[in-house]
Amino acid sequence: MERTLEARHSAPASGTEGSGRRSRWKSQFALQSMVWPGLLFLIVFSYVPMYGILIAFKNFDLFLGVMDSPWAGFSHFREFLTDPNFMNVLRNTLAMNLLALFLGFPAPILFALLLNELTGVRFKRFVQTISYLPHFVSWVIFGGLILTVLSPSNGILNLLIVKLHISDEPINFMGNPDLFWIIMVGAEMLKGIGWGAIIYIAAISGVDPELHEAATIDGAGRFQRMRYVTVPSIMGTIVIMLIFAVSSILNTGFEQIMVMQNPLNLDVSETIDTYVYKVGLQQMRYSYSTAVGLAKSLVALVLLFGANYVSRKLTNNSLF
Amino acid sequence: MNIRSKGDKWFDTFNIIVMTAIMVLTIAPFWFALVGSFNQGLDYMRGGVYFWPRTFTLSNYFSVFADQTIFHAYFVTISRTLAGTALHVAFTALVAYGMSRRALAGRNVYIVVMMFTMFFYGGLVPTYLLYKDLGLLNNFLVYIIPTMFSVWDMIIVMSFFRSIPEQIIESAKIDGAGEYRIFLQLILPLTKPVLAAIALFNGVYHWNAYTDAMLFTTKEALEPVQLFLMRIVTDSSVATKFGEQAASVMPEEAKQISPETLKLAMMMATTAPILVIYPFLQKYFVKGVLIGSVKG
Amino acid sequence: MQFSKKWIGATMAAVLMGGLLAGCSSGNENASNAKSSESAVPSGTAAPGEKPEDKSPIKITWFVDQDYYKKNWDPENNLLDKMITDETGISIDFTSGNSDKLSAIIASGDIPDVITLDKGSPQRGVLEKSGLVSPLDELIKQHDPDFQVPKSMQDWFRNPDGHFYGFASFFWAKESFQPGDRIRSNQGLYARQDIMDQLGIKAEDFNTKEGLVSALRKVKDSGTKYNGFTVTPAYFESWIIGNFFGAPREDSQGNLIDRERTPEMLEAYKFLNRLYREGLMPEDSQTLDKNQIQEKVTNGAVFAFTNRTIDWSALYQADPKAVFVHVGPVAGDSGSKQYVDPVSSSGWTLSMINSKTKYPDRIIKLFNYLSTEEMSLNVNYGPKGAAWNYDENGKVKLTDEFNTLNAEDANKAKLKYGNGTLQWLINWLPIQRTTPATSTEDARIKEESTIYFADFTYDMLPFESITPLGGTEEGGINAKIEEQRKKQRAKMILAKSEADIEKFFNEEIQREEKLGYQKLYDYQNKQFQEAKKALGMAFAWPANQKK
Repeated sequence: MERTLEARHSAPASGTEGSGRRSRWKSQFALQSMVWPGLLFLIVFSYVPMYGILIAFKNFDLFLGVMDSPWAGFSHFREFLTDPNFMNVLRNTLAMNLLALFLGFPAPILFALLLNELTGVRFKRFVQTISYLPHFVSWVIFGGLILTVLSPSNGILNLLIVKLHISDEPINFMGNPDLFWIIMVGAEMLKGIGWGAIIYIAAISGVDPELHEAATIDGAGRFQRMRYVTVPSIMGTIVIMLIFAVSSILNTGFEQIMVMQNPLNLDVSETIDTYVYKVGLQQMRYSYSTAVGLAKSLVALVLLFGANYVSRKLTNNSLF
Repeated sequence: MNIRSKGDKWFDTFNIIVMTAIMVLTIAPFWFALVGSFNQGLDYMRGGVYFWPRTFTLSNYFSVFADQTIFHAYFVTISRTLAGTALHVAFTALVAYGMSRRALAGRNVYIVVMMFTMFFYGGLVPTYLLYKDLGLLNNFLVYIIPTMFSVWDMIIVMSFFRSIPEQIIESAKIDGAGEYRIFLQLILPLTKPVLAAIALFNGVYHWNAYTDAMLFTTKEALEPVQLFLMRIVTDSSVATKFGEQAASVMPEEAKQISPETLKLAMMMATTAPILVIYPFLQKYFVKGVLIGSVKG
Repeated sequence: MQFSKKWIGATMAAVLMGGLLAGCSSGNENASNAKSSESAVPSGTAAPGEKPEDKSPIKITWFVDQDYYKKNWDPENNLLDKMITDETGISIDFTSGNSDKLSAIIASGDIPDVITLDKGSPQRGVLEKSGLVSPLDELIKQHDPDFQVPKSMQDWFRNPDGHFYGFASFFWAKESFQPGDRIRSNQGLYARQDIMDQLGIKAEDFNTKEGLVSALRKVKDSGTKYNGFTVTPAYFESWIIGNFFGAPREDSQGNLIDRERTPEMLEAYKFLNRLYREGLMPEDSQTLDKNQIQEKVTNGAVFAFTNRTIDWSALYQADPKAVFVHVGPVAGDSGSKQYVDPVSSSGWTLSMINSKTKYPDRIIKLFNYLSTEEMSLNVNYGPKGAAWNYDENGKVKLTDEFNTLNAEDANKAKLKYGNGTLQWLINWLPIQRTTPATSTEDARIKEESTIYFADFTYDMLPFESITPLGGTEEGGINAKIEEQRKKQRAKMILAKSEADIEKFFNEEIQREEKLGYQKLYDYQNKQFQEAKKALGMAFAWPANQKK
């Protein structure tokens, strides 16, 4: 696609290997000096404390410190991977994330596109302002509201269901394990659609209006312009967000699930994050929690590189 | 022509309906929370308070603002938000510009080195010891410096920079502009929308942050408003855990507030300033920033 | 590095400021530390000879591992702070944070003068072993021999090295109980008085399973409505019903019994399942959290429940006739005595003293001062005289000024009177003994039921040692099993038939074995036996003790 710069930008001025490299460094001193502070920052604030990860392989004793705590090898990893609940929490985590990827990921994009097509400027601004309000409502409160709406005894939804004879009995939404995943993903979409759209709205704002004008002259309707002008223009942003969404497939929101969890849906609602919180962090088993976190990070890193590779092959868009 | 504009009309109508629906769905929880914050605490616990306060009271807000030191806490929060966000956006954008240039030698190594840090975190104890050595404990700078760069934001900004046609940069170079001048005078003005978005994300992060204050500071003079309020709310719910009988001898009027309604009032007290600021950022999210520059 | 040193210097200076401001007295302090504090040369306001105690102004630092906690020492405006500073000369610089912050502080080796932490936190063991905190018994011997720490508290928190390091808040020391003292419980059986009257149900009906079922059935069959809500007969918790059925915690050999695996518990599940299948306890009893059930209770939509922490004040406020009274409690088939678990008697937090503090003598005396009976009342209500006085019956009577301000704005009252802001060494017994005479019917009934169910409590102290400490493998196993049990409980209560319940019950036992149950049990039993030994008892369960 036109936006891939990789191909277009062939190697700069050639020369003999050695001197060429040296002059290249010299000539881009200004450019390098922009990046180095960032690297220095990460070395100090991220790499220096990273020795803390060692406790994943140790039985961390606060008294002895990170370095002097006894080694535990892979026992914490083994504990997690051989846990009888492991398959269950993995399944739940993947199921909710895949669902979120298929339903939750496109939602803010569609919202941003539709918002962009609104003709009334005031209405547009109004909608945009309103849409990100739920982001500021904590999950405890938001989850509580969802539970109230879905309540079998006095929830609005069940009142409607019974009145309209969709079902004779009210449905216990939160007690039905089959519905949990979809309710969870739906709630997340509702809460995050406006906030998630901000980045796409920014991308759309950068689209050259001339492209739209040209398309209009060519006889493209609103929908066609959206499809053939706007979407390709923000594809780079979409792909980057998608790559990161794929790489974080083992992460689930934590608070929201804890709010919606109950003993009847625990079989489908327990995720890696909530489980490790309960049996690790809450018990202050730092080594175990760190080990699971590390394992998750490794998977995420692999997925990131994988998604990046696939994206480069398929769409010519990539992170690196 | 006619058919198309008819199609457009249908599309517009459809669009307005969808948007209105989303708006209603998203404003509802916020509205319920706002109403709850104006409702008497004990009464709120009976449920069913949604569209309008059933027993109106300002007690929750009085309670939030009872301690005058909250205004100092607001000052701390505003300071860190302004300084932190400005520094974050400037620094992140600078690195992102460098990284956006394909010419940059070592670029692929750099990005891997950077992205690695997104996935691995050393944990609190090593971080605490590092901050101690750097003198960041009990220092206002602990809010600003460790947050001044984010790889995630850098990548977002970088992808926007990359979407600027290379010929703009090339022609500037021919005119004799250095990289810093190109960055400041050419690139930044072209990418205001994404900078505004990053500023919004980071600003809201700073506004809501309290864990760094809780972990790395002990001085009241450095306490941000979120920490201040979080304590009022948790306090009122923990207080009854062990001293239950003491609570039951309190006069009835003391039950105007409950942890739930207090939490809602607190949420409003912290969200309101962001809602005021947002429209100012919003102007950057309008169409067509790029066009003027390319033509000019 | 220049930068960092400068800042370390500045921070140190800020921390030391308190000490420097205290002036020459601190120098004297150090010099006289080796000798007994009595011979310390008091300087400043306290004239020598007039009072033996050193009241020179000092400032100490104090960390509390509760992140919500905040207290600004303000002797000018806060009456409690003024009282403490006037009477001891000490100002306290409180800081707080979660247990992660505590870990970091310990790791940095630079701890404040006093640390208050949860008695079950893993940092407790670390601190006790590390030498960072002083044994309280030694400090007492050296500096304040008059300080009487209840023996049961010393024994309970004593380390293998023979010392105890922390003073516990909310500790119920049995040896200091007076006639009439009792430890309360958050478990019980409560039902709506007005509905009972309406349907002719009596409190005694709840004593038997059949009586309880027929009482609940009356509520259901009558279709009683309140405020437009159909009244739900019951929201019961399985473990409380199991306690009523007499599930034992110790066998005749003195070994620990896991209540969850007793026949009494199985009986409880079968009973609750019967209630569910007869429509007396709804399915959502397994999905609603405490707040949601409380919402139903305060709407008047619930007839009976077992969780005493549910507060029905809002209902009473709207309708003074709608009160919950204590009933039953129901007994099981075995006919054994009903029990309820009391609130934790080994307390909440421990406060420890830095072994390198400059003021060990002053701080141990402060501990003594703050843990006295009258100071317990003062930290709970605010200073005597300003916030409360004894009435003619020796009960606490809050002053009108306090009541007025508290009604107007509870947080303002806290800032002025300091009530409930310094409970880290509190003893709840004197507060319970002097609880103000109740004014409302609601409060009277609550008090009555608290007394009623206190009779069903037992000495839970030896059993409180079985919760694994944080950071241990047993802690992990315990958490895993708890999660598993949550699911299985709901399945048993909502089972389709009685046979299913037994199936689930046995299934659960098998699953727990896979999660490492035996290891956890061995640990718990060992802890239990050691606790009994420390407390000097052969048997802990009341039924065994009588033998």
